[in-house]
Amino acid sequence: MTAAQAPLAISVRGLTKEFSRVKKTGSFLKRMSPFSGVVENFVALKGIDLDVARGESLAFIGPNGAGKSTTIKILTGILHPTMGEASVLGLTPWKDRERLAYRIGSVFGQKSQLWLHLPASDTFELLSRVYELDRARYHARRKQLIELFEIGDYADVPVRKLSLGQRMRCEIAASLLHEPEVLFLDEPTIGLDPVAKASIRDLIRSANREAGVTVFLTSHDAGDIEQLCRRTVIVNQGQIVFDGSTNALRRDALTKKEIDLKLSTAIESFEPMTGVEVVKAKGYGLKLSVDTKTTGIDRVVGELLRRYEVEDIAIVSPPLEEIIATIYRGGNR
Amino acid sequence: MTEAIKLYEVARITLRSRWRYLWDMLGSTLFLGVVLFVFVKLWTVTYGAAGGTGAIAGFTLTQMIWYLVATETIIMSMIPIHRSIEREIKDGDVAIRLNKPLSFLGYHWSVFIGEGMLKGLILVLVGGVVAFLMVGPTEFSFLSALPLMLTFVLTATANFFFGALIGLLAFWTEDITGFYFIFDRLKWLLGGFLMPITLFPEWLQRIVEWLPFPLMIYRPAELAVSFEFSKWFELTWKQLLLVAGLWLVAQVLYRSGVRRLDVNGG
Repeated sequence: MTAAQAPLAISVRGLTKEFSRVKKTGSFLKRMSPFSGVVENFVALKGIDLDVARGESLAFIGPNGAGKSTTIKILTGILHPTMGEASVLGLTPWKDRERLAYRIGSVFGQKSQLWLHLPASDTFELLSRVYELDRARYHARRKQLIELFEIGDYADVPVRKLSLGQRMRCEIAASLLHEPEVLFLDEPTIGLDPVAKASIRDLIRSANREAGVTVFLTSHDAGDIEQLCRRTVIVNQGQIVFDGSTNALRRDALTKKEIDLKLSTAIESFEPMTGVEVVKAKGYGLKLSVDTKTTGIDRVVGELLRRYEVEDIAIVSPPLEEIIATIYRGGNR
Repeated sequence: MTEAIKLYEVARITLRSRWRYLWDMLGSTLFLGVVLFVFVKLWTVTYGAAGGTGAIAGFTLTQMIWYLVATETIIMSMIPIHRSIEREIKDGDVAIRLNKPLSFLGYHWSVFIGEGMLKGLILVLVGGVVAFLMVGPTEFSFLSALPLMLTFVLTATANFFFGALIGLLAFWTEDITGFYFIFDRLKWLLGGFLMPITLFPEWLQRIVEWLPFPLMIYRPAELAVSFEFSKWFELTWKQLLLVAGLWLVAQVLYRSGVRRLDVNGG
């Protein structure tokens, strides 16, 4: 069954969220008065449509203020939308918040659900009661997560004494304790070092691929997106501007490719070619940027092989981070 | 039943969490000793001027000091719940609460009671020792211990909803400090925090009797220094009514407030 045919975990139609802000201007007294000020409306989401299949891993990304967190908060029942419909596991989040809470998990990278002065195991115990887990099921699940997340050494150490990486492992384990069907992750690797990031990604990947948990991830980290999500949705200014596979995003979203050449003789000058820009030319090395909309990559390569004696050649897509940044800026796609 | 277990577990983990800072808490309650010392001196002079050992407004000097131990325990054991709720609403931590199958107000009540029980116990011990050393013991029957504990929980609950109502205003207003300042000082003044309301002029006593504040401070403190079961029953049903009313208002405020929650951004 393809992702498109699989039953839906999340379905969103015309989701719109408008926030109101009171803007105060004028004298000090006027600004202090609770009765002064102009109400300004700010549209965070402008009619988003989105389907996420069960078991899918989706990156929902965008620049700051694009509407990512607002979407997550609506889908977890925290915010009420201004307009539109949403269904998560067949429930309307803002109407069935408590019922839905038993079936979803969430990790907010910048907010902790762990009790800071107590060991993570105490929070696990509390959550087992909050989610009304059967005692035997809870103990088995706890043991399984402690082994999988390798947190046995510090599950009984007060959370405030843990490193950020250790805390995030405990945080994600806590979110998976009640075996949620959908896991919402908002910046789960923020502030972590590369080793901790890699291990957190492994854990999320295993929850998705082995336990079948649907992953809905927002992150500014291209590594999270590349390594965890097969599909990427880019939202900007409250609208979806890209929805496709992460591979396609990397491959097709930008019409620019880079050609990296190692020549047999040092390059002295580069005769211009249509749609080709020199990124770097030094000694035996030559790096070119090709606009594939103007000139086919095959033609450029053919011309280069005709002109130079080439020792090595590599055609690379720009890094995902650059692709995303370009899309954020509304650039070439 | 399951909701009660959840609330109990939140109160228990709060207690465990605060227990780790028992000595810090004990240190901070030493201020109560200073307050009581000052009041003992003041009331000794007042009772002396009134002609010696008699009662003022129905309280002997010993009862008056133990009354202050009770009111200080009630007030100082309460965490600033309005501030916690306001902060959660403003900085978005409310997201952590709302994505769990647990009542938002219920969670905060459990934290309030859990911490309040521990602080209350410490305050009674510290205040009790100071009062005992300075004015001697007050009449106390162990039979009254259990009913008084229930009174403490009901008193704390009424005070919780009072603070929570102000905290919930953060759904509508940017800063609740002004509201809190006005209502909290009214509660202190008219609830009999620093002196029994029987010391108020007759006309003010008649007004105050119609306000909820005495049920949140004066009545339970007075019961603690001169316990009678008839007074306890009367106070209990009045407090139950008050708590039910405040709970209802809090539910209405919360339900309409959460619909307009404005947590924009991560």
